[in-house]
Amino acid sequence: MSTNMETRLLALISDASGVAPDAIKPESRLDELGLDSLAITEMALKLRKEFGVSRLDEKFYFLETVDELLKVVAQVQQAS
Amino acid sequence: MTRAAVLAGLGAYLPTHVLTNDMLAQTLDTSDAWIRSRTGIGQRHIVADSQTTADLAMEAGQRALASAGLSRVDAVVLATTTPDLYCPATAPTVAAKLGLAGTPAFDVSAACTGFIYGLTVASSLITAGVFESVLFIGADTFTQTLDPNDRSTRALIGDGAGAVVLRAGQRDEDGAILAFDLGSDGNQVDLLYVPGRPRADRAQASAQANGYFQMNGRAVFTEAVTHMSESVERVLKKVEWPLTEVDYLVPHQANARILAAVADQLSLDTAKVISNIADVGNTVAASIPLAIAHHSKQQPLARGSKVVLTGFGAGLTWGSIAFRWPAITITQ
Repeated sequence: MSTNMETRLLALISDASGVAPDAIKPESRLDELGLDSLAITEMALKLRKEFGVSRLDEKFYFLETVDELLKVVAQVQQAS
Repeated sequence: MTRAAVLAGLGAYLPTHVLTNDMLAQTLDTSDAWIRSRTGIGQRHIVADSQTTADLAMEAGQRALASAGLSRVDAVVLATTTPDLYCPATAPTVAAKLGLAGTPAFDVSAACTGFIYGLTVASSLITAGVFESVLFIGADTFTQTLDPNDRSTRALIGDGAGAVVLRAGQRDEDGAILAFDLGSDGNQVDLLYVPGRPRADRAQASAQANGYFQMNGRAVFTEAVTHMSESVERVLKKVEWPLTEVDYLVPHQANARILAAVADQLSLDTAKVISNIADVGNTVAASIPLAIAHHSKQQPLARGSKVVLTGFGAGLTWGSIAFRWPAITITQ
């Protein structure tokens, strides 16, 4: 289960940015992928709907790279 | 036989002056592409210096009365957050402008949820037997609360008015207002507010205390999507309609991306979501009737269609209403 949400997050980043999943590197910056702050919020809302994880949007605030988002998601999954 | 308030007419009015994204970009650090990608908005209508909320409300009210084929009603209710004066309410002025002096008239204040709150109040006055007909108007000149240097709020907001006439009827008629869901959370007042400094003082005030509309856009996005989608689910439960039976969802036109996210949360086909935000922006209490009116120009709603209105705004406030579309001709 623990990788499902991370896989889904990568797919959402790929959808929103138009960059293929295997071209998205952990160190990729969200702004360089063309993702604005609302795009991060939209992804948090989609993950809430699909995985039942609340307040993810607040945890995503001020994060700048793909790796940072994935770490938050991994922590949230471990805690649940 | 159960008494109900029935939608008998709808009218809409926009001020004539149009402010395009390119015009905004001439004075602010923004662009058409930036505004469209973040809000879905291409232009908005702005009041003339000589126009007030009462003027817009009167125009929409006149059109709603014409749509209903009436010249008089038992009461005038106005939803607005930008009244002409702090005191008194603006509705009596609107009633007088419509030639209805002497008619009971009052305001309802619920910001961008104003149309939902006001329609609930107007409908309930009829259901309770207090009145046989009510003119209910949502009108705002919210552009007058904006910081001229704030690119995010100036891109979002436009002015306008929409109105409906409600008459006493039966619950099984098309157009009968069937169910409401309302809520508020004053703990989050700081996400959207206008401090209330008089306009004349604003130019002298510091940036932190200028009295203009303040918005925490990112937090508002999440709250708007959450509350509108949950409120829609609650009102559907009350009318016992499965989501698949909904023909039209008419959300408060907050931001095109908020509307898309609400549809996504509900798993609702976006083709069922009525939106005119590209042409008018966020018109606060006027947005829902304006969206219906503009959609109807292209494609009239079929009689008997199942319609859900939903709104979210400062307060925080939120709410939803369900009804079936009646056989009326919209005036705009």
